[in-house]
Amino acid sequence: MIEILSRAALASVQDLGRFDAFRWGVGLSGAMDPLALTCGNILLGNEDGAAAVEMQVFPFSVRFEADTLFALTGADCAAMLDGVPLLPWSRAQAKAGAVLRLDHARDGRWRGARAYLCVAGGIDVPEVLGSRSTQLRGAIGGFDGRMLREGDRLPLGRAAGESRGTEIALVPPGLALPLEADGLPAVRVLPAAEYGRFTPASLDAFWREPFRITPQSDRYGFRLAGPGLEPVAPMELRSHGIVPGVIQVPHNGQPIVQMCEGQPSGGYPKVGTVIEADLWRLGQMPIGTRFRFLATDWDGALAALDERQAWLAEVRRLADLLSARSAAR
Amino acid sequence: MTSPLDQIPRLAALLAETGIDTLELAGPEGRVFLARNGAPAAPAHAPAEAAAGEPQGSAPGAVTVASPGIGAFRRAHPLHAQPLADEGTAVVAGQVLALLQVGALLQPVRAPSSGILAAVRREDGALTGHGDPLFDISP
Repeated sequence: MIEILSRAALASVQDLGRFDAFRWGVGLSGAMDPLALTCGNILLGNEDGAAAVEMQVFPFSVRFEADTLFALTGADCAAMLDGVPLLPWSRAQAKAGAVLRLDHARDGRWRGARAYLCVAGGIDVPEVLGSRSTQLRGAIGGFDGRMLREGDRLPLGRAAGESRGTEIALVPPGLALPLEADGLPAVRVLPAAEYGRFTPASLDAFWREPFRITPQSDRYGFRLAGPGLEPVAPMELRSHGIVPGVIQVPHNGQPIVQMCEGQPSGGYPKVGTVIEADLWRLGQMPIGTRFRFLATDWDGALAALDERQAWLAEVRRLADLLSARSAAR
Repeated sequence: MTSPLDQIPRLAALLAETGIDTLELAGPEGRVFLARNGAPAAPAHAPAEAAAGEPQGSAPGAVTVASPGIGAFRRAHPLHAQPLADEGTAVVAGQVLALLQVGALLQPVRAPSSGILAAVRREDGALTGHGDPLFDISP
């Protein structure tokens, strides 16, 4: 078990999401940074999608009730285990009773907004519709279908048993797979169904000008501030299926990007979709971040996903190699 | 404690699955050199060149911190500009002094004892082998 010691809000149990439930109108949920969650699980020898704790408000602390191998990824929060500093994106062994404390996210060459606590064996909450992620809209999954509170005790799954003694850390993917445009972080976008129904001048500004993530942004969606998108003619659409990453344009012309907790249907016109391979970049951008949209196409989106998978495969290979080496000692 | 020699059959088996034809392992107890396919022979068991706690051309009483693995020597975490430990500052036993980088992986180098980080014996970014002297810590 691990016990939540913080009153800090907005932490939840997440995995890679609830993929097969769209047909029942149940959205994806899952980690805002699936790459960080996967990396933490690789460090521990878990399944890639083992459930973890996503934290987004700091300081945050937990107590380990038993000896636990864990990994911390995502935002660099100057984490301490019983007062001893931990490396960012590393795995460590906690003794029974040890307290892990994360401070506010630090500035660095890459800055994240969300941190992930993965444990050997994963957080063992029941699967609901094929996933352990917390779905806030429907109050299902995760820990009682809600955000975590002080005093909650989370059950841990059985660890794989294999010794993974050597201490290792990872170069954060924000550095290993950087994406910038004109000095600002960027995400790649595929044009969506109503793309051609906005004025060329406003589309030109959409690609050229930066957007800022406003405080009205959370796991459900990011409301952006930037150049407005103007429809050639007013659009009224019927509700249709949407997925995380879809960039909707409400009447005020300021885009909304649907994020993990986004609803599975909507009626606003869509100018584009942030590609799956880049959603983690957006998911880690703190409120106030200025970033750019970069145009891509279907092949570009698939190539980006391949690049991400290749990087993960290399991380997995090296982590297994070093772990096997320490086990052989 | 088991002898590293006990691991040779396992290492040979692992080696056979790869394209690698020589393997050298150096540690505090000695060095093991495995070769196949007629690769040149080398001393099978020689004393290790460097190990933690063994001063080597350094100030008397200083402890040499030996590399615990292989990789590029990194004084700072890639996220930060500031070195993990500055020359001339006090360090405590167990503190991370540097990192060894292999691809996306970072392995910490920890201080074996408390003291003053008297000397940095390796260039930032230099390729480092097991047992290479990295720092001197004076008591």
